[in-house]
Amino acid sequence: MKDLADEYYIRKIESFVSENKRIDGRAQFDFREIKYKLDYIRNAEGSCYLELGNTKVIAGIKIEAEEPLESSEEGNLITNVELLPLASSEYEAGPPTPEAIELSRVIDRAIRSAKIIDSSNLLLEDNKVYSLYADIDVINFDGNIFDAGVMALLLALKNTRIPKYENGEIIRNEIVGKLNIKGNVLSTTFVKINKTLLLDPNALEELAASTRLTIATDGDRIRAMQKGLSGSLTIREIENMIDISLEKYKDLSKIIDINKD
Amino acid sequence: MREIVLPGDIVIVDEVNRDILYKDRDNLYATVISLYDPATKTIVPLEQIWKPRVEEKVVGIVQELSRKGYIIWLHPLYKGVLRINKELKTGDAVYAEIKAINGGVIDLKLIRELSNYSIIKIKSTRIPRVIGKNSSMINQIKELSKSDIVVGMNGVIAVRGPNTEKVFSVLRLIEKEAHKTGLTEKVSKMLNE
Amino acid sequence: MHNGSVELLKDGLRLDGRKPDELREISIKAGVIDNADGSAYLEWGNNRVLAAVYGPKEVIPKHDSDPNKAIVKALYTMSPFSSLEGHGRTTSRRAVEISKVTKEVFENVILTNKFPETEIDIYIQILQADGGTRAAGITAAAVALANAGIPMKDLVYGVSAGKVGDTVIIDLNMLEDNYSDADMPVVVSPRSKEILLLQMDGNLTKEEFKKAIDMILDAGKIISKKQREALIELYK
Repeated sequence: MKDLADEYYIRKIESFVSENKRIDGRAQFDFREIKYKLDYIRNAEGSCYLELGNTKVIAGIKIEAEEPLESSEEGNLITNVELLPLASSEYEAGPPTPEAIELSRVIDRAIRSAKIIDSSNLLLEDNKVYSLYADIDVINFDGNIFDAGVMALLLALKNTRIPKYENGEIIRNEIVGKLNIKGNVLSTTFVKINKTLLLDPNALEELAASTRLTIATDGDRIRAMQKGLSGSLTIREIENMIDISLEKYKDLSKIIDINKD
Repeated sequence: MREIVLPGDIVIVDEVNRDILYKDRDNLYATVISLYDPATKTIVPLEQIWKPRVEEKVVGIVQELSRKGYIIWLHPLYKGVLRINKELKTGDAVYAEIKAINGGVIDLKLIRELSNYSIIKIKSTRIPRVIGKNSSMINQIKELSKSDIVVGMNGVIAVRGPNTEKVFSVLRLIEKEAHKTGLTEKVSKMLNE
Repeated sequence: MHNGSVELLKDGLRLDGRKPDELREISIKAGVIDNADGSAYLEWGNNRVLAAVYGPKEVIPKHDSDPNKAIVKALYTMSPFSSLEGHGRTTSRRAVEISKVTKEVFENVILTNKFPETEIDIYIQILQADGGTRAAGITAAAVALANAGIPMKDLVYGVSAGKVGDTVIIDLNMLEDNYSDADMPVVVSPRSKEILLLQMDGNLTKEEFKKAIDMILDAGKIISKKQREALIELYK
């Protein structure tokens, strides 16, 4: 999508915004089209491939038996977002960038603070719990990894099989049940360009943005927030985005069909 | 019959274009995906990385003012330098000619500024098809869309007119179907809709 | 002769029902990653591989650049969820080695002298692994490079051959790889029949080696055809 100089696109996006339009024809608070495929990686215990417009991610869950981390006696969740260098010319190979670490931590916070993972069936024995390794690979970048990542991870978790644990070992080909997920959490990410707020920014809109806000809700309460970039937001703007976020939760939960069980 | 050849396919051609052919012993081989016509012994690349050449006319984007002059974006790999006394706006397009290439520096000569043009980049290998024989294709697009269109050999095209999105779809169609017949009709049908 | 604990051949057939000289199903799609200059997605049995090419582009860091040719970088990575076993945590020494031999394959076939002072990046991502991923990755990367318009002497492919007991077999899956008596991944330039990558472990007689190479060249006809179809499909 971005095959010309940044300077041209920033000007272009700003001129669209000044006319109350978006470069891809969407309304201000529209999400792009969402498509997904469950169980995309059969080698993983749970997985989901998800497209948010041209942003494409794969979430995969692998389960290990390990000591509980820190004081938590609840099973471990280790979330990591990988901005694969094959997904964009902006991504470089090497150790995770601050951008990737922020993404990992915000997505992790959304899932964790919504308390959707029933930890009781993750306890194995004294000092041994199931660890859920939640990895999100970005395979094509077109903005808003936050929301794509939360959705893909939620769907992957909801379709995770738990392998048997016996004599200190995981037996991968014996499944003892499904990971119990109670409730849902979904996020909505906005950017601010000049004075205008846009939902679900694409890569070009992120390029022109001064401020970003991610709000994760369970449809009723706010569960996580993260403001990014160097611009500022008014309290009024934030309240407005919270309203939209709660409203969008309903639409999204229908699209990705998470209310069925 | 024209056929698609791939890297490593043997070809027999009259004119040896070293940029797209590889010689091994006495044989010539394609190195990029190309259209090959054994009857006329010609080969035309379908995919090729653009390389700047002196006297070529290009469309670029003003990036910044440096000590050397304005830095003009031409291609992900190449930037040009434009030395003029006039003030240019960042993000604006310019139409320029490549004057000289010295040690990686591409010197440009301004033909004209293209303020408030919408810009699209297509594969540079498709530019001859966009222009057409004796400019037939580009003239048809300009006329039917009532647009001013400036075509750069670097694959960058600047458009100003009542419906730039429609012109963009036409250009994308040409990029995708450059090797097919009946393109002129398809294009005129699209623009007449 | 057989040193494993799993019986890999029964009545002349392999555990997944294949004959010794039979490849797994292969399908390739070119041009799948919009942001990349060239890309390919490949399914090979249960392997799922993405390959993408960026470049030629500016060399970073600049002092690495070569005034006479493009430098080629290759990075082979396995997604942490790609294996049937546990979670893959960090860059392994194995991945570094595979990246190196992959880079060397493409340094041979890319006409790097056409783009001095530039860099060509090749990324191979193993989304799901079931044996033979380096061959699958290189097969996909060749398609991605052609898709990017990067000039090459040939469209290379990779495949491995191996041995179970006394039987030479082609295209080992993970289980066969773990219990076979030999495994030999090879990358071939089909035009010249020259070998661009060769690795081997286990044990092979010279006769078995020759048989394995013959099988690889035969299988190569099918793999090359899949690569060609994926590229030509884009112009239909």
